[in-house]
Amino acid sequence: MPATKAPEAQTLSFDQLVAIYEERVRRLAYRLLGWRDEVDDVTQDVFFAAFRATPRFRGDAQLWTWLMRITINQCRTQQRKRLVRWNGLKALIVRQRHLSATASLDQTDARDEMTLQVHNAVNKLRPKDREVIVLYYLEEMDVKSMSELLGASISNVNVRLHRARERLRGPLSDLMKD
Amino acid sequence: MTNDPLKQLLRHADTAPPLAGESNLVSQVKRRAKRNDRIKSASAVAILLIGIAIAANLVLQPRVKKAPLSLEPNPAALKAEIARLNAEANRHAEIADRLMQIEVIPTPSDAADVQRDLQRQRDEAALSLIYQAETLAPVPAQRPAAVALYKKAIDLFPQTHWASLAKQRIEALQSTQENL
Repeated sequence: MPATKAPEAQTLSFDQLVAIYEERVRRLAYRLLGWRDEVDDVTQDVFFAAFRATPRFRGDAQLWTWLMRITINQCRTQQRKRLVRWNGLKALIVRQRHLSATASLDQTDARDEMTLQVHNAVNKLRPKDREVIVLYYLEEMDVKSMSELLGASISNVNVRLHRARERLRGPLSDLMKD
Repeated sequence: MTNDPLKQLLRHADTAPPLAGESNLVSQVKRRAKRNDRIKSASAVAILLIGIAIAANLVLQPRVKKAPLSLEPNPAALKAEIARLNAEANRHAEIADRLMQIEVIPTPSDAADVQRDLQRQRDEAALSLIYQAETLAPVPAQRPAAVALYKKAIDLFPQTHWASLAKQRIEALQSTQENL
């Protein structure tokens, strides 16, 4: 994805930007990272990149698209780091903690077992496939907007979406029947 | 799309992110930006200083001036060069004379040693021929080759006792041949 450029025009202070978008950025990053506890670092990276890009922001839908693009890039970076960083072990521990926490919950509630299965299936997707699933199903974006956001053609987005759905159908087939 | 079971599953499993820490994100980002700025400034200054040091080193380094090449013949310079080469040649000749003087001339005792050494080498060569002939002689088909080797030893080293041994062996082989 090409380097992003901040939209200009109507001014918005950085404090206002954080106040308005922090929660949305956190939620999107959390979903893109596969519901993992690395969201604080990524959120800070996103707003740091935004702060660096320009001191002025535009308070409309374009700004959110711009922040989404930064968030996607930062999540990709985070996932690459996770693979090679020395503290990959730490990430594993965090993930294990997350899974065990969910597992302990699903002893008391069958719904959480389903959550765990869905999380595991989505986490097994490749990051680019996970992105389209999150954007399409959870952020409820249409394919055209996704193609603009991801810098890919519409057919490419459709292919990714189809592939991701196919990969989720296998592990989630039982749950989908229910 | 609302009836899509996959969408329902994903929305059901979509949990909220953990609550943000108490520290203020705005101040964290601004502090980080300031820290990065300081690091960048320090790096720029360090690079500048290194550059200045390298440039100063290059500027202050003494340069070796080369004498300009002249295509015009200079008789005085040529004479001086010839004189220098002559002096060098004389020095070499003198060293060669000294080496010739101190070279070791063999004494009579050394000459005797050389003779003995030559005799030893002749004996070894003759022995080698006799040895080869001895290995061939027991095989009837190889006897002519053995005889040839004995004869070679007699021809090449007639003054050695190996020559007389070779003669005895040839005679023995010939008598054996006649008996057969």
